[in-house]
Amino acid sequence: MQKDKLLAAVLELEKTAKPGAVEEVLKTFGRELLVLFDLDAFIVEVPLIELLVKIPENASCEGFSFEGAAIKVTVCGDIDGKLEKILRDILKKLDDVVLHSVYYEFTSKVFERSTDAIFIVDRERRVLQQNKKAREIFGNVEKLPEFGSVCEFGGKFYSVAEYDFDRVKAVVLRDVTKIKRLEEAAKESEEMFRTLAEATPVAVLAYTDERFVFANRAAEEITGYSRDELLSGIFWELFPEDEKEKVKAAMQKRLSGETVEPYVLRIRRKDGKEKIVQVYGSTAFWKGRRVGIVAISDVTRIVELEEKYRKIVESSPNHVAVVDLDGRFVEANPAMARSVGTNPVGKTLAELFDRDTAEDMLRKVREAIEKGSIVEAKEERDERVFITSYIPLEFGGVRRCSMIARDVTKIEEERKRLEELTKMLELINSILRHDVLNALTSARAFLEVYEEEKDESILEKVKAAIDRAVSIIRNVRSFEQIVKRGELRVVSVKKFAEDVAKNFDVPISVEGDCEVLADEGLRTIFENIFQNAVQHGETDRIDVKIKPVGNWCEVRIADYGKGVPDEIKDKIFEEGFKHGPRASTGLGLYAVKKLVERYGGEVWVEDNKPHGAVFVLRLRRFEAR
Amino acid sequence: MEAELLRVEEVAELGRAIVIAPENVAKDLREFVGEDVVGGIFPGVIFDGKVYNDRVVAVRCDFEVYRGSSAANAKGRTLLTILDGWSERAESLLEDVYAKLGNSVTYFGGGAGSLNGKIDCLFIGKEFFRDDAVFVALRESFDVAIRHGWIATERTFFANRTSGRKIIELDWEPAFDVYASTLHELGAELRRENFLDVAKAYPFSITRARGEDIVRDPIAVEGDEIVCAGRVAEGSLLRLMRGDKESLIRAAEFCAEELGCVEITLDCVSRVLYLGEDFRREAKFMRGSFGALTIGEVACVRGYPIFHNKTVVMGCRRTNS
Repeated sequence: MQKDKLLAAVLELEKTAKPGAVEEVLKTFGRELLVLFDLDAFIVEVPLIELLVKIPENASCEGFSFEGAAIKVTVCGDIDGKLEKILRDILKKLDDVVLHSVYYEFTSKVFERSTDAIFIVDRERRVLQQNKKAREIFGNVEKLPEFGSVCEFGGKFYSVAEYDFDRVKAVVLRDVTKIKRLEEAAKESEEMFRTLAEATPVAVLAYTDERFVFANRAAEEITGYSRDELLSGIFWELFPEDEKEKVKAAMQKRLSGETVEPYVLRIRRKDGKEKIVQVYGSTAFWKGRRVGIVAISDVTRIVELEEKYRKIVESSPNHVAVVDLDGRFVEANPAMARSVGTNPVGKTLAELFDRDTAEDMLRKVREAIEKGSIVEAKEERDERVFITSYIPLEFGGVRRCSMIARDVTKIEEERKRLEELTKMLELINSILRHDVLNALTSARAFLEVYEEEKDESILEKVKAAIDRAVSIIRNVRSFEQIVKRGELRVVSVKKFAEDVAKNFDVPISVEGDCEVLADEGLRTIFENIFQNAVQHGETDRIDVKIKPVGNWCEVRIADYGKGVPDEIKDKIFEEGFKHGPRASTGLGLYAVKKLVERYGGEVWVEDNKPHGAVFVLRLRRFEAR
Repeated sequence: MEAELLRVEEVAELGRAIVIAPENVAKDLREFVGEDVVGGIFPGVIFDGKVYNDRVVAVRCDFEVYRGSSAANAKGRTLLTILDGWSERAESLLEDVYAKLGNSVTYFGGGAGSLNGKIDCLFIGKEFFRDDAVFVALRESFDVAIRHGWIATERTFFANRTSGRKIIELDWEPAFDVYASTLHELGAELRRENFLDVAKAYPFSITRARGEDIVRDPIAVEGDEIVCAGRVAEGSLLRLMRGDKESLIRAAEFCAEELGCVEITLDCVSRVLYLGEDFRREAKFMRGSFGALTIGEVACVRGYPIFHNKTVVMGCRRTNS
């Protein structure tokens, strides 16, 4: 190679090795190298940017190779030792150029494409260069003012970083509006959290790594420790030994991201007393750490009350149960279990009661739940009477119904008895006024006859009438006492009939007998029927026949008077029914009917042949019971 | 490969053939050319050691034709390369094809066109076009030789500003001024009006460490800028060359001797202009061959294909191909 040609070629080649787009630089250099030195192939790799340039593209050869900081080169062709040295020197320069070009390309792209606004300024902060983002945000700027660490422009916030490069500075402004807003929101959130936490009566504690990092005032109150004490490392001291495992398990579960259902825990206060608390927990990121946050409410009183009421419910004679919307038992007290003969929990109403009862109960359950108010009902089942309250319940969105059934069978019986008693007393009162008045009216009539006729025998009748009145009053008094006691006893029907017959002037015969459950009211029955036969039927005699008929004791009282017309046969036993010129209060036969019914029997009237009436009593025989 | 000299109207009778036509028959050629004919229009054609301006050379052989960079897929041993000699893009197309094919083929050809300016100098069938390249892939391998024979002077220039084929500044001064001033020192008076007449004897060369320097032929002046017949890289060290007819003719002789046989010749038209009557002496080395007077030449067996100026290129089929 001629020296001058060589120098010229080297000079020309070196001139092509100038910074620029790396691929273009290498292609130009390669082409010139091959042309100027009459070589065959140029292969160069730039690992930094994963670039491979081959001239020609199918070049594959082993020749002179060079490896620099940025390039790996293979050159093929006629290359002697001298050319190798020349190439090495030139390629070193190319390597520098490529290295700088790569970094220049990097930095120019970073500079121009950066999402940060970048200014290059001199010492007087005159802007020498600004990137696209800077132009977009600030327009063309001649001089930058001094900034703090954050500057505000056009309603946005930018963090400011300045990098010193001796004579120039790079000023980088990053849009931190979102971050700032988030920070403000986070600050507000934290303040709100603290305010809420302080205001809430529930103890709030945040912990991490077995240390509390936050405690509110309520936490001080419930634990007895000051906030400083809680934050200075008090942790496990809060929990009794047998509760620590429960706490550890909950903490582990919570910090691993699992949900921990609220649970009840005992804690030990600073003064050694224990409290029962309900723990609600969650986790959150706070100051860059995952922390557990628990809200603790003191449920000691609630638990005690719960225990108390649980005992009350369990020992209650009332049937207490909770059922769901399908009528399935969720809870039941022992009384309820006893009443249905099994533990009903898990079973449905339909499984425990007959179909009609179960359907009726389920309807009330649903009615109470839907209305949201208590439904009360009187229910009879298994020959017993209950007052059941259906009380709607809602816990955590689950709607159920509490059933409280009180067995009021005895009360109901007593109520019925009192009702009957009252009616009876009213009747007795009427009887007294009616029958006594009758007797006294007879006596007065006889006395008036005596005053006119001065017939001594009439005085006997007066005496008899007065005696009947006295007898009625006496009998009614005892009848009243017996009714008040409400007890029936076994009596002889015949005996009562005969005793009453003695007080009447007409002949009264009594045949047969049987024992029935009755009281002194039976006397009133006979008296009223006898009196009715004499007074209204104007009979001259009465025949009483007593005989058992099946479970009944049939008493037929026949008179031979006017009889009872068919049209009033159904009415004569009604309260206040009066008929004929000698009608009295209309209560006599009504009293008969009520007394007979009280004994569980019945009464009616038939015609006697050839005339007169037959009052038929049917009373339950004692033997039949 | 069979070449014959035809009248342009005889082209109509040709089947599949490569046609080398002088620019004087360009108009008529369009009338007679058939679909199976490809080729270029040159300043002149060479046939058996003579230059013709009114006849065409037709070559019948087995070939495939590719237009532009599609030649990157060419199959063959030799790419007969016909470029638009005025087109900078044509040089780039050659480089693109080389980038793909490398030295798997021999590049051998020259620039078509007219010395009077840009014309549609390339054709494939009835389509005539410019600013492109036609590559004719031949199955045969060719040995090629290229020489210019121009002599370096002591005058060098630094092409500090260039743009493609244009030299804007030489030695940091307007290129035309520097060039004219230098020629003036050598006794040649260069003016814009006589630019081609004077400059044809004083080309530039780009110095190569090895091989012949690359001659750059200044073919026009545009203002102060000198237009060459090939690309001049910015930063090139250019040497002023001078012509010597004997030297030029020896270059042709050297090529012919190197090859042993000459079947195809591509000779730069500006050499012909420079040699004038003496071209006949150079042409005797071209006997038995056909070819063209070209605007730029290409000959590359190995290494990077260079678009040369002011050279003579000869080719001969390898006997064992």
